[in-house]
Amino acid sequence: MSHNPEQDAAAYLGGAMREKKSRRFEEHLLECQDCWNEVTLARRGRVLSESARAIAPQALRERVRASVESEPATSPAPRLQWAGAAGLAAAVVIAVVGMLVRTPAPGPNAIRQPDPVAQAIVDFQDRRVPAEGTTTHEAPDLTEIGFQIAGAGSGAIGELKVDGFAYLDATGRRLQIYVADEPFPEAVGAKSWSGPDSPWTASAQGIQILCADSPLRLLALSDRPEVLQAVSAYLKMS
Amino acid sequence: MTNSDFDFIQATLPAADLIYNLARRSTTGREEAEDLVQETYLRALKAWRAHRRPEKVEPWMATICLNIIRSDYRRDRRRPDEVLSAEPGRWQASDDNTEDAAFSHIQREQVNALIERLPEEQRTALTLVDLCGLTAAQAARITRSPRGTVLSRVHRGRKALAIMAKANKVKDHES
Repeated sequence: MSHNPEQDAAAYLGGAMREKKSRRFEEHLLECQDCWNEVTLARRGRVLSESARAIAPQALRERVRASVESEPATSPAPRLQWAGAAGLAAAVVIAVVGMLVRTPAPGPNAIRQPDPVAQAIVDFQDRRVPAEGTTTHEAPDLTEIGFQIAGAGSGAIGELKVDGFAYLDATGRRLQIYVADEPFPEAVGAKSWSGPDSPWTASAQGIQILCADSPLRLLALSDRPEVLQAVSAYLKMS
Repeated sequence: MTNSDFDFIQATLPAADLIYNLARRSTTGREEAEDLVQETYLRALKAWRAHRRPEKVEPWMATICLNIIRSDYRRDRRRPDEVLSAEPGRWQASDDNTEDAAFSHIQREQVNALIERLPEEQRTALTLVDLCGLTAAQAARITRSPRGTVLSRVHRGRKALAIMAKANKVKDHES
């Protein structure tokens, strides 16, 4: 077995050694000062370098999102470029289907939710937020609990004017929050926390819903109940 | 915002920290790093809109970022000799203890200054693996180097960092 402390230590720490060789190297470490020094130094260096990891500032994330939103498409999608009339017709069909998908359409046995709640559910499923204008309400800052804004816009859900904010965390968990000046209608099957004016929660089509009037009048949706629990605790909803 | 652009944001925004770390190590200051991050996202968006979707977003974004750096971003630019100023952005806190956090902030500034002193190849390998969290295999593909070479560069970079830290009396949480 050739003895190259630097090369062996690099392979060992980098996980490039097979299990048997790795075990042999560990035994060798106990009796070879050169290899021991290599591994010890590199481990310390790794701790140091990993400690220098930075988190991108929130303002930068906002800037990236805004630049994506404002970036004009330079050319049509390739499918339309080469598609002829049939392709165009197909595109129209897809567009119409897309519009239908945007409209809340519960099945015959589904519970019909009030329009704003139903539209919010569809928006969450379609990963959309209203896009009729810029928001007037400040987005709840949820960076402390790991959620960054991935989309924002103003518009209406049902007849209710809202600002919509889509959030994501590093693990891909999604959250959507609507902020409004007028109260949200209560979802069918909603459970109030303590009384008529207290926050309520509901579940519909696999999506959890949370609504509160204080400290903000908001409607929050996620497919993960623990996300809404974290939001209600962080925002001190009452 | 179109569905596609929304999907793009959802898929790529979690990689913002990775790209930011890469950009910070490849540019001379925070402003320039942020410009590079934005440029990376816009180029990625162009590819996304042309239906070039990656299997894994992180290495894809890192490759785009490094390609920009290689092609034109750093043309006629030189790295400054002086130590970088303190990072105004937020840093990952190892815990909630204020004293520890303050210690960590000072220590990170010192470590950043030491990383700047590493040779470029070691700094790039160390950045991709330790700061961006990519695997050695991913870093190898991105830098078009053999995996063994990346492992060796990372190892030498770590060793150099530990030696410089000791010489400069920079402590970590384990010392």
